[in-house]
Amino acid sequence: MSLPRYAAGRLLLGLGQVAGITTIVFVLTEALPGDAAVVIAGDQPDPARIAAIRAQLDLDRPAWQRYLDWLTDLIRGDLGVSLISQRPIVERLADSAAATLLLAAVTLLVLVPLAIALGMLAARREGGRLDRMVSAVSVALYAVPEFALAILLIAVFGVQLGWLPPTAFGADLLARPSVLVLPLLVLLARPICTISRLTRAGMLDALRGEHVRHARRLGITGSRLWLRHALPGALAPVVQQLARTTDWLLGGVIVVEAVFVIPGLGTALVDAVSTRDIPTVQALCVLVAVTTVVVNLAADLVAFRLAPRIGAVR
Amino acid sequence: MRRLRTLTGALLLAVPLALAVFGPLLAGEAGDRTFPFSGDGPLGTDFVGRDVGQQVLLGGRSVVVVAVCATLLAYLVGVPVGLLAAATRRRWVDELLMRPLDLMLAVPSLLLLILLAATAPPGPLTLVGIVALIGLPEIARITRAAALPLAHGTAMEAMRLYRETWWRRGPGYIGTGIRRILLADAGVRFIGAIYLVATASFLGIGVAPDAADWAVMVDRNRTGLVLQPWAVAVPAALIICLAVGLNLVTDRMLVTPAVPSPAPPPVPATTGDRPHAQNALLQVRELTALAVDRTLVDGVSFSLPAGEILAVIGASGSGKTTTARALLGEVAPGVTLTGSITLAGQPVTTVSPPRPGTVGYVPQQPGTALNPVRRIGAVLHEIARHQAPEDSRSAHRSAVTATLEHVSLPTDRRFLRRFPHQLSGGQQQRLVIAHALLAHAVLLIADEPTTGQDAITRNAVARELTKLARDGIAVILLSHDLHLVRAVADQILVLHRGAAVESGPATEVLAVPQHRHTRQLLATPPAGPPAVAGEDRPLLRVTGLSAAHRDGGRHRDVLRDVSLSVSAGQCLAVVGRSGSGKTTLARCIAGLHPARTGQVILAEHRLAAQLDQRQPHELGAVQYVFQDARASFNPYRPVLDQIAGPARRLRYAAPDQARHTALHLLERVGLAEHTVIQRPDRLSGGELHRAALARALASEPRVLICDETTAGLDSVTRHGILTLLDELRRTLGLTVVMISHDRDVVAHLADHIVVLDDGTVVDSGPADALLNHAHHPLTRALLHIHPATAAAPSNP
Repeated sequence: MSLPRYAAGRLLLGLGQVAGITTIVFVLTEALPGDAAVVIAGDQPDPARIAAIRAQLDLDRPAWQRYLDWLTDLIRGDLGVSLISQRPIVERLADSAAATLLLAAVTLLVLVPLAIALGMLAARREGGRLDRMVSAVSVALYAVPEFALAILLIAVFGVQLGWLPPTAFGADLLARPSVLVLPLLVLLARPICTISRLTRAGMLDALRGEHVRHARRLGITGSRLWLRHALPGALAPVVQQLARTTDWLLGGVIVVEAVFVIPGLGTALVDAVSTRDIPTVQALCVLVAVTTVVVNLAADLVAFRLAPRIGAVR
Repeated sequence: MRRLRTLTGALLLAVPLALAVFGPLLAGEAGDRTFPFSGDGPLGTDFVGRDVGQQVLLGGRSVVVVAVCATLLAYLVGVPVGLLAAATRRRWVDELLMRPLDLMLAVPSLLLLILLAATAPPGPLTLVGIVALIGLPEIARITRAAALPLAHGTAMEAMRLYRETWWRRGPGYIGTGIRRILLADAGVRFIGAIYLVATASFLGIGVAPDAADWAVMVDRNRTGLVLQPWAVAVPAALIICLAVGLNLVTDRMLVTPAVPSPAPPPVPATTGDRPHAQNALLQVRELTALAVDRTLVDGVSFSLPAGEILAVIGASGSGKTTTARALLGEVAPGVTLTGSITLAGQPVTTVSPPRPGTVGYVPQQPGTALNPVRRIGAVLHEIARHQAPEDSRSAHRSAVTATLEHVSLPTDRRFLRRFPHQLSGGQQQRLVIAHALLAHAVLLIADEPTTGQDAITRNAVARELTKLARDGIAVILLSHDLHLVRAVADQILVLHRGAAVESGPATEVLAVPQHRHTRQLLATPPAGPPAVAGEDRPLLRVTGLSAAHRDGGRHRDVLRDVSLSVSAGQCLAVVGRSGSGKTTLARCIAGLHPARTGQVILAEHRLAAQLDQRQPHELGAVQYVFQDARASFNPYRPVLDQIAGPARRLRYAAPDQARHTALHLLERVGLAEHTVIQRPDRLSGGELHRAALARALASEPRVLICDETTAGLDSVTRHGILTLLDELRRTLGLTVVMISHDRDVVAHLADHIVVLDDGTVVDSGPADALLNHAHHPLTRALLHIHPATAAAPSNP
């Protein structure tokens, strides 16, 4: 199967996924038991507020009509108005997106070269000291929830030693880069484990592979053998895992933003959920879902180029 | 090291688990509340003035209990869903089950958690449900992926052919097969559940804000981190211990115990002191390869001048490949080499392999030697550049073009921009040879270059190898394809259990084999006695059969309007190139592949196209012998049980009667009872082929379909199977449909031959006529011993 054909098929699948996810999001947020307006009003169930919510959400109309309206608005880029602040959601998202994007971008920038280099170093001498150390640390770190790690790091480096600011409360992230250090460490912990382990396993596999041995017999050695013949084959699963990592990153960002008090999309989501601001929750979910789908799409295309046989099998 | 890691993990895990289980029992009554974040009590007080020590004792249970329940629930739902998706033969059921799950996997799990929690009433039950729902798609996917090859594999088809009970196919076969994978995965799932539950609790999802829960404690008390660090640090540390400990412990389950590393360092082979006077390019003296428990190669010596072809022949496991690898300076882990190898005056050992480029190696599957990610032109240019770094680009290009022309490959840009997987097997083989030529190889080793190939490919390979030898390259051919050996070899070396039992010029060895084993290897199966006078009435008729394969959503026609008939007691051979539709035809007759149109008629009685719609007696009448005998057995049950299966299920024999039948048949095919009461993995390939024949015969079939039954077997084993098959068919009066591309097999057994090409019958007729004087060019190419030497009188 050629790349354009594969890309077209994969793009269609991605569109389907986005359509499916928007449906799920709508259905889930609509599935509030009882009178939705009463539930949403929550702690302040005065009739005026319930009526206002009902009017704003058009709860008197059938669900499918509201779904269609919501979808058409989505396609036009209109995400609706927040129930709480009555401001357009797009503004709110634009305000908070910067911090989250900065966090995610810096994490990825550090993560990819570091994890791949670590994996390759570990593969250089299988069973060597570095290899054992990397694998032990990565096994241990892999399952630690971000919030627990974050709290421990804050307790040690922020409070006890006082080296780094414990939170980013009120700070301008770009002006004071030191506030980003602890969040970055927390965000890196999990993905760095999986990616370096995958790179290591892929490299070892590739180096044992017949085609790398064939290249070696032909006289190709050293960094050329490693970078041009072994690494590309090892990278295909890594790229796909990297796409998975962005999923985690989004989850991790929610927690990290909460712990370090960073006003990003994660904070916005937690706030929206706790105040039952349904339109904002829907908009955020769609945004995240679309990002995930796009990232996975890109990763699959890169992986296809790296391992063309995958496409032939599908 | 690994043990230490597991031990550390167990210790780390013990503390939080013990607290989770016994903590609530030790906690006692809640004391009075004092001031928030004060130093009262061993660990101080929390944000509402409760004793932190007591809260820690109480707070572990919820995390563990919720995670355990969620994991169990996810498996209870996910495994059946995955199994159903894998087992169904209806595509839409699979899609309907798996697509929504794929969709859920596309959403980040924490987001899904928040979204679900926002709509459901908070509480531990909700949390269990949500975490289970998030874990479910992955479990279903893993189950499906593990069960899919089992549910549609050869062993399952073999069981369907004798309508094995649901219990033995499902739980007995698939269940056992996926058990290990699921168990290894369960640890990871549980860790994931712990992670989600803790994080959710921290974010205040699914638990009351003042609940005694480690994660909630971390969240609520972190405002007082400076005043009272214990209230945060202790529960956070406990959660980390739980996660790290669990992971360290389960990691051991995931990694299968490593193979003992090659302990003995490769001893440099002792090289001869004096230079060899002979002009041989390659000198091998007393080469011995020792594995831990046995000798792989035992004192093999030979020499080979440039421009000659040496054929190394021998049964599988006779040490051919080990010898070849030694010439490359490579050994399998744990193998030590002694003896001397000299190539072009230079000693070759594992520490000093031959100078790069001098020895080319073409593996049995040439595709594995090609970098799958890079375009073939880029690699060719890289090799050319490497050989002559100072030359210009155009010089490299012309070198590449010349080499490609030499091995009869296209040289245009379009071809050079292809990836290896876009080449045919023959092209891949020639490309690997081109690599070796570009690197100026003086010795080329070809490992089984024609295994599983039809006669046309074989002739092309023969031409290629002869051409290389004419150019002055020494060629070592490892093969059990005697036609190829006869056609090209200058010298022959016969290996038997690692020892060279015979060697010499090819003409002599072929004409007067000295060693008993060589004679066995070389013996052509005697042509069967004249055909049994079969009844004229056709027993099996196939009319207008068409079939298609689904290929990436599109239908590709494999068979077009095929008609044939076989008389009772006769053997029909279906021959054709790879991909000509032979196997699909056989599968259609057996009902394993649904025909689109056309009929299969057995004794004037029409058989249903689908296997599952055929009556037991119809199934019993047509039995199928798979190409891969090992894959056609359930690895978890004794062979004997499986051979008794058809008698039990299709002939309704009582268990001990079926066992008796099976033992009787096994005796006929030459297998003893103590062999077959074991599981299939204890039997050799040849034994399993015999067992597969016995199983097919257990339902007393009238028609036996054999699909490439002897492909990939060495000639001694193959010989035995063919003789057995011939004897069985004569004594039992079987009608046989034989799928093969092996001339020897066809000549040995067939009464009638049908030649398939591209899904249609292009030639058919009595075996004698087609074997000796066929008119169709394809038939001649496939069946005549060697078109180049076809002038010589063919088989009498």
